[in-house]
Amino acid sequence: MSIIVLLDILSVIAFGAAFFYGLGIRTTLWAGPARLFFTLSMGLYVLVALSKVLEHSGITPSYDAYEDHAEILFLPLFLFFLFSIRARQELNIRGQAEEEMRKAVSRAWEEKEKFEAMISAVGDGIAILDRDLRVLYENHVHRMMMGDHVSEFCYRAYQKREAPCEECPVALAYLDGKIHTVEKVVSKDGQTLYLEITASPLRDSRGAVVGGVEVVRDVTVRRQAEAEIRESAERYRDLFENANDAIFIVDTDLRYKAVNRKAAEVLGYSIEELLTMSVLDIIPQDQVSRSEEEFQKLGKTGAYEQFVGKVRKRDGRCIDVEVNSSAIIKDGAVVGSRDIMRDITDRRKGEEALRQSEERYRMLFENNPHPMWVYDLETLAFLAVNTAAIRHYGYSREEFLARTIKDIRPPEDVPALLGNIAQVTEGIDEAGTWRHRTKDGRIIDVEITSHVLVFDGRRAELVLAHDVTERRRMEEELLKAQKLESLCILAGGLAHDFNNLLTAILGNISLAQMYSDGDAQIAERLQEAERASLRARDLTYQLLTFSRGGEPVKKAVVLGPLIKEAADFALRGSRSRCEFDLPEDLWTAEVDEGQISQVMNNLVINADQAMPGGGLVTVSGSNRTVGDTEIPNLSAGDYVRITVADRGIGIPHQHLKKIFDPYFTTKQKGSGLGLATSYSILHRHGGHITVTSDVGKGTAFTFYLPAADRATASKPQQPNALVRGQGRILVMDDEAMVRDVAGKMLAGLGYEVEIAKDGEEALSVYEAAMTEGMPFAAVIMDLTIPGGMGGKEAVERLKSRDPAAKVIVSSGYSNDPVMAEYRAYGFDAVVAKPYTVKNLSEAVARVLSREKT
Amino acid sequence: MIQESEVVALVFGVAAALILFFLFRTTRIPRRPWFVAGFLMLVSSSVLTIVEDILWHDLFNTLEHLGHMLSGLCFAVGARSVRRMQERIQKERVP
Repeated sequence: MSIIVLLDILSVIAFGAAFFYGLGIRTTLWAGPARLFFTLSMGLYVLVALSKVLEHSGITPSYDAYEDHAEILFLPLFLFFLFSIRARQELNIRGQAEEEMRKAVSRAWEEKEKFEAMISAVGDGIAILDRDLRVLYENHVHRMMMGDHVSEFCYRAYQKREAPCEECPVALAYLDGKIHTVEKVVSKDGQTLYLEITASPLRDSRGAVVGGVEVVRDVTVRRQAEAEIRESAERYRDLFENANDAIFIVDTDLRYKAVNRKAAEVLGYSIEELLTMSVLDIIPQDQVSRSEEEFQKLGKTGAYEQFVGKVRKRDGRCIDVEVNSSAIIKDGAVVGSRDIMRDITDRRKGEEALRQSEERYRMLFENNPHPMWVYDLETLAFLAVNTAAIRHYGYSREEFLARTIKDIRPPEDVPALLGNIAQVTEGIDEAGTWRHRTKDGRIIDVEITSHVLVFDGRRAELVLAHDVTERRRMEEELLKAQKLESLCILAGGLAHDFNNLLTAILGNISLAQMYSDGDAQIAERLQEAERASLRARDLTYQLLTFSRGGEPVKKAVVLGPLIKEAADFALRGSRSRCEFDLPEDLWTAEVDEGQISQVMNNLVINADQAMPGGGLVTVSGSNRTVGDTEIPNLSAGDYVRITVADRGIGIPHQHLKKIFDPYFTTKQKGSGLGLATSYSILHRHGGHITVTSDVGKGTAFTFYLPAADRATASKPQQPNALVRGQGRILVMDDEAMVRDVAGKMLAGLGYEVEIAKDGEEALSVYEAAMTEGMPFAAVIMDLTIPGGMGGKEAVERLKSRDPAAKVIVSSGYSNDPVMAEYRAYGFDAVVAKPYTVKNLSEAVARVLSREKT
Repeated sequence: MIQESEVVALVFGVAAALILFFLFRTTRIPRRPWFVAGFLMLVSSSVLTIVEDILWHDLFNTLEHLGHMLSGLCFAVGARSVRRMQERIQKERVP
């Protein structure tokens, strides 16, 4: 088989396949003629190819005779193409028409969707009804409001009726072709709905009414809002009319446009009268300009304003008012103001009363003499303090308010304080006595009384502090003084008894000296015994001075030896020594030796204590004539000046003024009595004491004693120069040994002695002697007789019976005021116990010699 | 020797090709390339029929038959393709 034949066979197959496929094509793509010519053409080419197979395979002879018409083969194929193109063109035209149709339908659908969306979007229910009032269409809102009733009669659906409603707006619209609106109240799901129904006729293209459109609007909210607005308006009207404050509406000309009942009531005008008036009509003349300024300010700023002033009532009285104004603004312009006016006359009075009350209570707090404060119970900070607290504690008010109450307590007391605060209860709390610390570190004792309160919204405590430091000190001092007094009584009694004993001792020594017959050794021993007894007497003097004080028993004394002896005595056993500068020509002074010795003793001991390591104490004396006002507290005259100076630690300046105060001391074991006693003694002597001191350099005490005369010394006494005499002497004393020794001493001096143990007995003996014609030349009376009549009473009675009686007072209380001022009590002389025979002889001789003269 | 009918067929073929060329500039038919190719193959076979009479008879004769066979093949492929397109459209239209 040649390739030609093979190709022809393939051609037969190919064209046959084309023929076969062409027959199956029925679409409009190939219109009938096109498919016909294609299959015809393909069929012809099958035949041509088949003929070629036959020809070239040699089966059949050549078909050349037909090849002359081969050109016809193109014709059906050409026609196929032509009809295909034609069909295609028709198809394109139809496609365009279909596309336009499709677009038109799409637009129509869009419009329909828009319309339905619009209908649905309308907040009102819309329904379309036919002439028979059958529902043809409902939008979503209508269905929600009325339910789905399409194809139902509306009166049945909505009203459950068998006939149209009397005022059916749709029916009315059908009748007259106009739009009708009615409002209906329906109940749905238990709720009352207000529906506004508007119906309009629906016409066809010829204008005939074919149905109606019903628009249903739910106006429930609007009706409720209108009702609320009405109620609100009513409330505001009620508020306006019945307000307790006067309310005015004022225009820009300040004329009243509206006023309420209270305004008329407050001002005394009727409402009608006020509506014809201006604001300026009720404002006092002196406030017009101010009020106009306020109105102008209100008009410019439109802001809320408040001012307080006065208005004049109809009766002419002015009242205090507070006015709150706000501008009325319309379209951006101020067209008036609304003013609310309140009569504050009573309130002002109340405020004034309150202010005065607060002022009074503030004064009670601020001027309370005791420190007071208020502190926060939580933070313990001071919230308020009064002037007394500031003065007492030394802090300024600002310093106080920056502190807590812990700051005025000693640190060791703070835990107890906190514990006390933790237990604070309502009501008055008397917290007892506490220790407080002042700004300068001083510790004071205070009695605290407190009360819990609310201060500035905080829980606080009002505290009143009563400083009892001084009272406590005085109580302690009183206790000390009581103890001292007891001690003094004891000391006085001891001294008295001791003096009685010493009287017996000294008297017997004197008698022994009288009886010694010139034995030198015996005389010397007796003299020593007498000297020791006299020293013992000096001690009892000091003891008595200490115990009783009292008036000094003065006598002219050469001060030098007394000063020296007292100073040396005081420094015995000390590491200090004394240096004296006491001139020989020192004037004598009328002093009580015992008391002046005590003064020196105190001053020298102080000087010694000021020099703990020992040192030099300088004692100097001089005569001084003082002029008027030259030395404070010292009158003009001659004085003996004694200075005791040390080189010790000195006294701080602030203590100098207090050192003569009783019980003031800077020593741990000091009594605070030494310098006070010295001061007292010197003043009782008509003298004075001063002090100068430099801290670290030393101290000098200077005291002045009035000079007795310008004689430099008392005349030296003749030792043992006894004054003897004659006559009867009555001795009265409760102590037997005193009576005995006195009797023996007087007998030794040549006197005849009778004795009595008390005043009654003495008076009896004295009267008996007078009766018998043997009167007594003198009587020696003991001042104090325990359980019996003493010398003071006895001399009075005795003098009443015998004014010429010579009475000598004798007492162991040598510093008793009677002893110092014996003449004032009726005595003629004094002899202090213990006495020597010499003292006794001088006293008796002095009395008897006075009788002679 | 060149036959008159072959020339006439060639002329007709070329003329039809030119006409179709202008028509196809504005309108297109489905699967046009296959049908145009088949048509052009037929025209080519007409040309080769004439050429084989002038030189290299066997070669051009073979080519003529080859062109004829390819023309049938193009038409068969084009018709089958149109038919398949028709079937696909019908399937899409059926819901």
